[in-house]
Amino acid sequence: MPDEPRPVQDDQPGGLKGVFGRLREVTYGMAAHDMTRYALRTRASMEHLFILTTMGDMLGVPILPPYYSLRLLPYAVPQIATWKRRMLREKDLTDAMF
Amino acid sequence: MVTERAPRDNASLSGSTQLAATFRDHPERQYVMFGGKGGLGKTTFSAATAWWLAQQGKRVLVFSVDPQASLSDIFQQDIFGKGPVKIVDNLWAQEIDADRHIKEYQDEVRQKIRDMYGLDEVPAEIEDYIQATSAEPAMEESAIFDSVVDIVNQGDYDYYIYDLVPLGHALYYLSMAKVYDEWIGKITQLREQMREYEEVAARMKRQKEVDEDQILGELQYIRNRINSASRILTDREKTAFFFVVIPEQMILLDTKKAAELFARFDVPIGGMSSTG
Repeated sequence: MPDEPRPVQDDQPGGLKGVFGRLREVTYGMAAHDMTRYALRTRASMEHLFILTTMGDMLGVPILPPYYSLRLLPYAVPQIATWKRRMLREKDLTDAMF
Repeated sequence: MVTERAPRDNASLSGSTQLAATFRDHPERQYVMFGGKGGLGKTTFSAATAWWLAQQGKRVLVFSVDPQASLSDIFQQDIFGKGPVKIVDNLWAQEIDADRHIKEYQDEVRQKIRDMYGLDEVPAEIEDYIQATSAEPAMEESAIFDSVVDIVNQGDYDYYIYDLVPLGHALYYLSMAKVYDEWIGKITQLREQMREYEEVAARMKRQKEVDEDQILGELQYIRNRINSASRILTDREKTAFFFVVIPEQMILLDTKKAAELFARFDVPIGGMSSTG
């Protein structure tokens, strides 16, 4: 993954530090990677829930008067497209698995 | 001009001098509102009260948010959408142009989006949404009360005389304010939860601090604005709301109903003023 953390900078790539660095990366991959992915996925779902509760009227879901939602709109701009796609696509049982 | 019994004062009032007396007795009542059905004399009372207070050496702003407001007529000059206009010494009058306020506000949002993402144009679907918001119900009420908060927060005057639009607006806003407050409470919680997940992910990836969530700051700001607006309407010490009535049964019945509704939202009723 491109956003994988890099180990601590090692002066000698082949040295003891390098070995520890690799070991740390492997340990991260085995133990924490899934959890990180889960945390980020949950966060992304919440982000979509947030947009739904503030700007749901974009999809025809009546929400409170949008006067104050407009203040939040600039921050949500990058997510609007994916949010709409996710909300409007057809869903089936397998969604729950992946 | 006859003022009737002021429930809060337990005193029977008669004659315009009695209205003056309530201001002498309660100098802390800075926010004075006149409400009631259309055409009963809200603007007359607002303007007369403002005039009288100005004569007493107080700095007074009398303002209205009604697009068909008559302050321009009563002071015989066009003040609509021009900010506070000085009428005589100590007296300023202002007619808020809610439509323009909404347009300017939408432009600010557009500008912010362009600045944040270095865009020349706001993306089409976002632009559609911004445009659609103007047509939403209650957008106007929110805009109106937001500009009232601006005016009052600046604190340039001793007295603010608010020539209200027909009662519905104020009640609608007050009921909205309560819902808004809860709504903001909920989404603030959601944002905070999101932040926790973000921090967990960042810790596991051994990243440094996550960026500050600007949305949380905005939510705080929105909550403050809404609370200030409803505080202005419900401050038991500083606010006095006067119903303008005429001695007609239908008007009196209607006002009684409105008074009950206002009481439910904790609006302090200063009294009733009759033009009949």
